[in-house]
Amino acid sequence: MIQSKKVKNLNLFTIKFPVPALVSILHRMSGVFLFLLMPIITFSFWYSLLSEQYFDQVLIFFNWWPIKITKLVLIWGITHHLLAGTRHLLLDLQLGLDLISARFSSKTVLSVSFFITFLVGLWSW
Amino acid sequence: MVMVKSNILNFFGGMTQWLYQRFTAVYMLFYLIFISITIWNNSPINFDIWMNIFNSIYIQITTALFFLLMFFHSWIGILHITNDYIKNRIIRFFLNQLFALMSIIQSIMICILFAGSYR
Repeated sequence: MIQSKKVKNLNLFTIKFPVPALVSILHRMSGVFLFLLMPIITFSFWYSLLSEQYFDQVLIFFNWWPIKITKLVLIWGITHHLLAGTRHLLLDLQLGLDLISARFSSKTVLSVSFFITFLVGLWSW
Repeated sequence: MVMVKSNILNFFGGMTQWLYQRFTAVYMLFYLIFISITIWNNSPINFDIWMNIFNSIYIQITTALFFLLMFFHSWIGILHITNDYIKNRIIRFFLNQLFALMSIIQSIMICILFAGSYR
């Protein structure tokens, strides 16, 4: 057996992500997060269309403070997933493939998603 | 022995999954913009306005399609993620089945919701 002498550094705390990699991994993580919260969204949408009483119950549920915080994270997840996905579609169309514009677009995605989350938080709190 | 698998009529190969992911993404992007504008225009939402929005047949069809495509999109995404990070085949298999079951139950809920409004 020949032992490989390659130096491996897969410690996540010492690896420094480039910005596009950060956007990519956050795209994945927000996707998983959205997938896990999807039953809540589907169920509350279904419940809110049944009758007025249930609609009010859904409103009360979504104005409970832990749900409010979760809702903000959810809004961040949706906007980030949307923007990063749009960036991915543009990359598939071979737009913005060079390093400078890729870094610029990923910084734009990060900042715009946080900005939109901030705005929605201000509007809905 | 080399197995050559035909790409024709392979509706769930890697290339078609890639395409499904893109097309569903584009549909959901446009739907989300459209529904946000609709909700924004009827801005102080109460139950009557909420019911009125979803009484329109076009909104019902596009919404049902949105939810179904969302379950499909998320299921493909989650298949790729479990494939990448979960090495144990048995755990991965059962997780995939569980996630598929979750998606199917939610699809049935959405279908019942919008089919029920025609009775």
